[in-house]
Amino acid sequence: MTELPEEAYDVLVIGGGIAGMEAAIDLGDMGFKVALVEKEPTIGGKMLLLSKVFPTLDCASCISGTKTSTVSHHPNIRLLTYSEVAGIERVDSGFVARVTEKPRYVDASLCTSCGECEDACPIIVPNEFDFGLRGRKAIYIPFDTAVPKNAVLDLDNCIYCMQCERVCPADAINFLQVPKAHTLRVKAIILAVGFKLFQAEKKKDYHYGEYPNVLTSMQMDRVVAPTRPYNAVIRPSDGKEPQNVGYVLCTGSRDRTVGNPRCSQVCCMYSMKQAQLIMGSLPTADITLYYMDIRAYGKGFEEFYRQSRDMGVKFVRGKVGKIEQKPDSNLTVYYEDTEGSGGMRKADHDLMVLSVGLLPNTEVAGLFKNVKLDLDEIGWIRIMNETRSSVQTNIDGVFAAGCATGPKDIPDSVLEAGAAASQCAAYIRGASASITAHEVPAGI
Amino acid sequence: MADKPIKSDPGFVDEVKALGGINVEACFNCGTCTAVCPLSSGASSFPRKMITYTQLGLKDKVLESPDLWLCNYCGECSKSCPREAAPAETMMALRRYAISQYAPPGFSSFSRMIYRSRAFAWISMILISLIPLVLMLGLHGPINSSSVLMFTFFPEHYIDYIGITLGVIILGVMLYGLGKMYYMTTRGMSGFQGEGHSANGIKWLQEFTKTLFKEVFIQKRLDQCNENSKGWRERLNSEWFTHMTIFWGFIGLLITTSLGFLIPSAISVPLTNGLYIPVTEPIRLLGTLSGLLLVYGATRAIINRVNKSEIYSSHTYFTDWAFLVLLLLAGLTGYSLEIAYYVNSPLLTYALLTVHLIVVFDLFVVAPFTKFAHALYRPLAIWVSRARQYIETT
Repeated sequence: MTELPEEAYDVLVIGGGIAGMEAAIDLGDMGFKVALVEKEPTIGGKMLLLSKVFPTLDCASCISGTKTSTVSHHPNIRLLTYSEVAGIERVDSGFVARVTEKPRYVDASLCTSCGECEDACPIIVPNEFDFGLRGRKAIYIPFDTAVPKNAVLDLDNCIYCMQCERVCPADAINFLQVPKAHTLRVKAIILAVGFKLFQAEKKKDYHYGEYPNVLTSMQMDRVVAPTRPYNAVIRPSDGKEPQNVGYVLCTGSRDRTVGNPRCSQVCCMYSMKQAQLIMGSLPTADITLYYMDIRAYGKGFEEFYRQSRDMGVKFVRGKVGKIEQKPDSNLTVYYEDTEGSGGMRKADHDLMVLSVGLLPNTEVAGLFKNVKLDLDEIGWIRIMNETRSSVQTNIDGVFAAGCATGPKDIPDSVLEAGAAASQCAAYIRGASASITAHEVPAGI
Repeated sequence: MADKPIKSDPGFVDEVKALGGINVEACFNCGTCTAVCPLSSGASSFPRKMITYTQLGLKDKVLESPDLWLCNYCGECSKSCPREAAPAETMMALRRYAISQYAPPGFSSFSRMIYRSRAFAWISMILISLIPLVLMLGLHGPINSSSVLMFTFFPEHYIDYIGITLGVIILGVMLYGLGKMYYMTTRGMSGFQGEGHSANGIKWLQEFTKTLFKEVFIQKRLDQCNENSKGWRERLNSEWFTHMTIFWGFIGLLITTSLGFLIPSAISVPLTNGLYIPVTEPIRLLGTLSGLLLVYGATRAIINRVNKSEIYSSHTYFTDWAFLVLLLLAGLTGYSLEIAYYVNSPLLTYALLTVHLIVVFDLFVVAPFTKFAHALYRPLAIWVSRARQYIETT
């Protein structure tokens, strides 16, 4: 571990997803010095993985791509990727954060991302970008639009054959790299730690991970993206184009048996989005959404829902109880059609997609050493008074934005990031960020 | 049907909750319970439908549905319910409700109170036990303390008279319940009441025989309930096996008792003054073996409930305990009686006989009002449901 000298910034933003990037850019534009810490080798978060966004069907990477490059070139933003916050301590003037930067085993200042190392590497493992639908090498450039676009060596899967070191034209491969310990002194913190996806394996009756043709919605989003694996919409078991796709909504949401009684807010809409995109790629495919309630609450959402119906997406009210695989690897779903006369039903599909819910990154609470960060009963960061501020946590000078405080869609995350940036700015400028009604001076 | 307004009882939810439907209001009608149920089918789908009826206060719909009794309480629905609304408990509570409602008017509120109040249940049990105790104290003959003379102490024909009187009353109550259930569940179904009834007579009989063999004798639905138990080893550990031992143990003892009364000549040794009957004697052998089955089954069921090993054994109400404990006591006191008799311990024998008869008396008295009643209601419901399916498919 190399100890680096202490650096001072105005704000530490934790998380380089859409909310974190937006907050960092907003603060940087206002003239604040920002350190942005991201645990993955690249920034962009989950949004960059998506095909399109609802309800406008805009290209997700076209929107977030501008943010990733802005962050990487912004004079006021210090970007630390592949880095994790080890601990935060409250001190008189603000906070001191210790950040561990993991070794990439590639010298980022030399790497030109030519890809020679990737070609030479003999090891293939499932990739993260496509949620395992495609392979990657042990040394790899995470994806085409990656920022920073540098190779990263995954030492756990490396066999030390040194092929990459031999072929690298820039001599950037360095197996002797060790973790770097950064110490950042900051005045305020924005937590944009996002969410994690529900692990579909936990719903045993759906047999995710066991039946090849049961996918999660994030995998399906990769399948319908323009940069899709194999450049075709195919199902995993035999490469057949699916003609009858089923969606299980509320997989891991509104479900007490998995400890998440809350609605994940985005699954209805992203499932309909995917349904429309599948219809674009496979015009003859039948698509059925098994739902408990359709929650199309935002601007343009209800219209999007009706449009999906009009396009021929079938909506069935009833939660799928179990999925069984048939010998031809098609799938039988059991459900109750709870509308009309009701009754147990069975239906066959050649591909099932589990619309997985959003769960909190509860580890964030453990980062704070001498203060306690309040989480709500599920584990999302608690907002002290939502009618006054949607971004103020229980710690003065610590703000939260995006899915860190609860499931929400992209526009809401961006909105909160802007709010967090402006309240953070006000806090640093000395104005109290926690003005309460009785503190408002008379005459205003 | 359509012209009749639907009656809703807003208090029904509370009634069901008091009877054990602990979390019925939490249900948001997603249908997971029905989808995972190994017994639910297109024609008869439960438990969600029953829960919806409960939430809406449609108690007549509940009593009119034979589906209530098609559930064998495996607990799969409660395991997978996303609201943890315990649908299996609601089904159980609704069956308790149905038992109380099918009973004749006076007995109905008695049954309801037994389910709802633990104190009432205890007091009733004690009062009911006093009847045979008082009868025995008043009617018993000379107590011979030098050698066991069981039927001198309490003549056999007294037991017969009391038993027959009790049996007639219980049978009457049961038949009333069955009749009411048949009337309610087949009301409004063409081919059952009124027109077309007789035309299907033979078919009904066929379905009745099938129900008797498949659902009463080998209890196929209960076996289906536990999807994982396919091999015989698993079967022996299953709920189905426990239930079969209790059922056949009970039937065996019922036959033994009836035969002993109806054809005393079948017993090779005359039954006077407590002469010892050899264990190898066929009817006695049947009784002994049935008793073993009963004691084994009841013990296992009690252990399951103490350990709360499965959903179906984790919520136990007074009547569940009462039924199982009475069964076990009946078996144990029976065997103790035999042993006391065999070792020639007169006073102990008389005391055990008294306890044994009280236990058996209690067991029969509470039968139509407690869980025991399912023995008649469930086969009837399965039969009605089979017949209904037949009507709908033809």
